[in-house]
Amino acid sequence: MPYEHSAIPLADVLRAANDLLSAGLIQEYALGGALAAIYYTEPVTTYDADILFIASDETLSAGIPAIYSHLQSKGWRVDREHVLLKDFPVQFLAASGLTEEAVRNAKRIEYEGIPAKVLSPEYIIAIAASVGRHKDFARIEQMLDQVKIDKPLLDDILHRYNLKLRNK
Amino acid sequence: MKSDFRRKLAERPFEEKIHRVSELISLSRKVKGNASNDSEENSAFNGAELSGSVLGRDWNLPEEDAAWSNL
Repeated sequence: MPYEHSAIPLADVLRAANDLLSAGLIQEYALGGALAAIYYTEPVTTYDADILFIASDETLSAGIPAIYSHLQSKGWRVDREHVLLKDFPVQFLAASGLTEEAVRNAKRIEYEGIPAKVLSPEYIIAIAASVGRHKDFARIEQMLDQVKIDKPLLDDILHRYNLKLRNK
Repeated sequence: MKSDFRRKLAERPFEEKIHRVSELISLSRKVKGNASNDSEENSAFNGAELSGSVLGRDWNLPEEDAAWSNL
């Protein structure tokens, strides 16, 4: 059931990301950050959406100017590193290394009937470990407690990127 | 909040969880908009501080279970 007038216009965000795909500006994308975590965990408050993408044009700062220009032509506003859709900030982040692998292995979902991809829990944990802020380790604890994790896969990712789950 | 209850929240449909977070954001914006001054009490209210326990308190009501049972 679609939720109208939502403070998080996620359906519109995903439509826009799919539009970037159709326009050939990006190869692939996946929902990341807190919203990706919420796909698997209890809801937590967040004030922006992170879209990780693999650019089609790897020059021009990973295609970000073209992406922002395209979104502006569709009525989005740009506010520093965010683009705003219905006053909700969305950040498009060029993926590389671990995040690129995460996007390529993201889980296919449907949100209000819109096809999309969301990072898998093992990659959410690994990315959180790589960022390493206090809130990232809290997210890891939450994921490990509430989500069924493919442990061999997680261990493999952590090993290959030399990451640890604890900041010690 | 007990872990098993939080795991139950985690199992709710994604759309439902996003809708619930949206409600909290809207509430936060409304409270901030209504705040005529930046008193200590008002500045302490920040949606980012809304904890899982707040979410859980609402979701734990029997009325909530009934209202969402058909989803």
